[in-house]
Amino acid sequence: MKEKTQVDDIDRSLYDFRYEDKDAYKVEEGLTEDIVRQISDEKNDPDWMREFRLKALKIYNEIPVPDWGPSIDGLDMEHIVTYVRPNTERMHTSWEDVPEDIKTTFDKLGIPEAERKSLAGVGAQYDSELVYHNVRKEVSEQGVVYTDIESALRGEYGDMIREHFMHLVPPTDHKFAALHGAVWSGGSFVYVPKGVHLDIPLKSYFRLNAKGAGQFEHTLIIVEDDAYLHFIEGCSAPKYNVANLHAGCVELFVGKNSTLRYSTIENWSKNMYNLNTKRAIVAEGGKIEWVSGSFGSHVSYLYPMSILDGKGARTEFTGVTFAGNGQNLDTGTKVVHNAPDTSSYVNTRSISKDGGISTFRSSVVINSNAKGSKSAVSCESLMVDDISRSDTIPAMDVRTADADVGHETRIGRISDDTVFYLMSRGLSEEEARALIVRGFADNVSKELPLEYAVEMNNLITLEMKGSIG
Amino acid sequence: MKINTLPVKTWNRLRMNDHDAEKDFDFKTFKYKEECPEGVKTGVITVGYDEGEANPEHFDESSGSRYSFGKGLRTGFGAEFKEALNKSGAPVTVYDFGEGKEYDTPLYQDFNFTGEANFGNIVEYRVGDGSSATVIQFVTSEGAGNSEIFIQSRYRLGKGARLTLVQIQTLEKSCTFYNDIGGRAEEDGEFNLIQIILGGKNNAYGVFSSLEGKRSSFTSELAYELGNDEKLDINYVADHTGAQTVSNINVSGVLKGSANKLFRGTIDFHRGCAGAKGAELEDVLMLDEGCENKTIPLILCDEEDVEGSHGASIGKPDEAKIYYMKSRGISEEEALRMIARSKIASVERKIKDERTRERLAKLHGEESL
Repeated sequence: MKEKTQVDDIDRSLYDFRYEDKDAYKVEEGLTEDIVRQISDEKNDPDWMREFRLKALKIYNEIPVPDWGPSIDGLDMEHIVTYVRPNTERMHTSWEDVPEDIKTTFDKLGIPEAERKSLAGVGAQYDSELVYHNVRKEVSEQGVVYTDIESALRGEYGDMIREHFMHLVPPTDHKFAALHGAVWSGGSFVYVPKGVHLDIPLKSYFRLNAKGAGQFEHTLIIVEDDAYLHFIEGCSAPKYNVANLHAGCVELFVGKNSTLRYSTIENWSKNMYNLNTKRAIVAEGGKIEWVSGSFGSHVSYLYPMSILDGKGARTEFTGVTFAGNGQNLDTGTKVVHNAPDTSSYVNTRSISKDGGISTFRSSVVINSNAKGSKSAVSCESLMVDDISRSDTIPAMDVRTADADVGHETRIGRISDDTVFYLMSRGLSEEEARALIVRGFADNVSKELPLEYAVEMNNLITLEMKGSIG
Repeated sequence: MKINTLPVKTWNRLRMNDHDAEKDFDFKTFKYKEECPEGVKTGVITVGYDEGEANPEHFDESSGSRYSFGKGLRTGFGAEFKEALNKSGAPVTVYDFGEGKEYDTPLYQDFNFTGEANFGNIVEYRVGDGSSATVIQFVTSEGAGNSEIFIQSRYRLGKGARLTLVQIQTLEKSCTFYNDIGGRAEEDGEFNLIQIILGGKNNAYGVFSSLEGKRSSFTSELAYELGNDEKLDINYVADHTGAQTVSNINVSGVLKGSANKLFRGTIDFHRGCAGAKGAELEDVLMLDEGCENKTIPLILCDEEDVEGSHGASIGKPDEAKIYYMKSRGISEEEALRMIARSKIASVERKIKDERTRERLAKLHGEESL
């Protein structure tokens, strides 16, 4: 008889702390036109944005919830607070000025330390508002703009934002894109001028502290021609016994011969509905690199999309999803080849344990004008025990004969022989299994800066703790 | 009506979740020719009996009622189609191959549709414990115009039973063809399916193979060649519920002109199918601008101790291969024709019946493979 595994829940003490939000300003629960107007007033939106929000709300009310993917029946918008302003009046550029409880939160998560050590700039969002934003002097001197999107909207970049905002992800795209359009708040704006090569990354960190709230930050990045940027995104929240919602939106514009690397370690709490939308459009010779680690959330719908719109544009998607107890993580990617000689490479790993459900879902569309294009998709799934589930749903749509498309999927379990071998070399069974899983996910960890790879490996080790019974 | 429904839905905008079939059930039963090996019992029952217990009153005594679908028959076309079909009261011709019998000759069924009409036939093959049978269906037409043709083939395999079903379809390029297959296998039951698609304008193919018995298996080889504006919509499901069950789905084909093909292939590992293995492999050659290929291979896994894999290769012919053939004095046009022909020929070679191979060779104007 095979030995069965029993897995304890993750030790989330690092992320699972919270502060009372008694001083914060909140709108009422639910989603009405009045609430949207209230948010718009709070934001001092320009007129076009107010109209945009109201139109998006109308679209939201018209679009049905998806009839595919994990159930979101537990998400009742009537009980979600769509806007929570933390107990600070404005965004700070000095860490010392940030209110104590918020500062302690981010200190615990290692944000200022990371900034000192290895980042060119940091943005920190707490609930619905950015509370801290800073960028190194030498970076801003190169003309790089990294600021909160709302200041940028009202300032000299207003026209640029109006031109790009929800241009890639229109509110009609799906129900939660429409929701985002109606109640978005916070987020970052990055502009990298032509020819600027930013060697060290920028980072945004999102923390949702308020119970039963939603976070709807908008990230807009414009990388001009011949430039390079690495942007890192992290997110976490304490666990509550009611649903929280994250419906952010990321829009990335990659110029000619530029490269944008967008890395995410997502570790929302396991009461979170993570219905996030990310999309990039890449011009001639440009490249978008997605590195994505999904560890948290109760339910996730997450499929970063690349639109390869210029000749020779490329995308690489490297992802790992780890679904544990009570999690249903539906992740993957979408690629549209819309120009000649474009290429896509997708390499993902899914791990399911302790009753978790992971689904890899993808689509690769090669349009008739994308002659000479190539695509390779590889997804592997690992089942750690016999109570979990793992599905793969990759779709390919090829509309030109002049294309080369390859796909491979593998699904299986941890090999008993490998565990036996590692145990014969002195490892305990738990250590052996954790080592195998870390090795299985190394496609992502080796793509991350060292300190984030360490964080990811620690998360895997935590997830695997107690996995032998 | 929705047919060929994907077991798990994905983005609706991809238009891969199902196939819209404007199908009604006002069809005429077609009197096909057949050569039945000695010892095979035949009879006629009414469609829909399989919902629950078998009803002996609906059985021809000679066909017996030894096997029942029990939980109900599932076929590749899906539940909506089944519900409508069951209401039609159409006849089902049953072939009972009995137990412990090894047949030297196949059951030949020649569906040569003539005249424009909507035709429909439902056939059921029962292969009892320890028996081994081969069925060869030739589906052709003469002067059938815009006929809509429907064939449903059901199978029930007893312990250690083996059924090889060969379907060769060369309908005229004006016909619509609905081809639906479903059945189940008990312990060590083996269902082998070979399908070659050379004709028809609009084709829908569905297969649901229920691997319930321990070590039961499903092997499928499908080859197609589509040109002009021909369409092919496929839905294959290997449903693993039994332990150590095995499925292998191989699909290869050629698209020319503005042909359009969609392949859905699902390996579904249910909890309890420990030791099961499933593999899908697809190879699509696209020869002309204007043709379209869609592929969605699913692996659904609710059991830890399984091995599942999928591989796909889609696109233009290998340039090195063409270059080599040209260097040997073969024109590019001829090289492409040969590469395309090899996709079909590799599946035709899996047919063991000499008579069928000869008939195919004659069709291609070649010597028997």
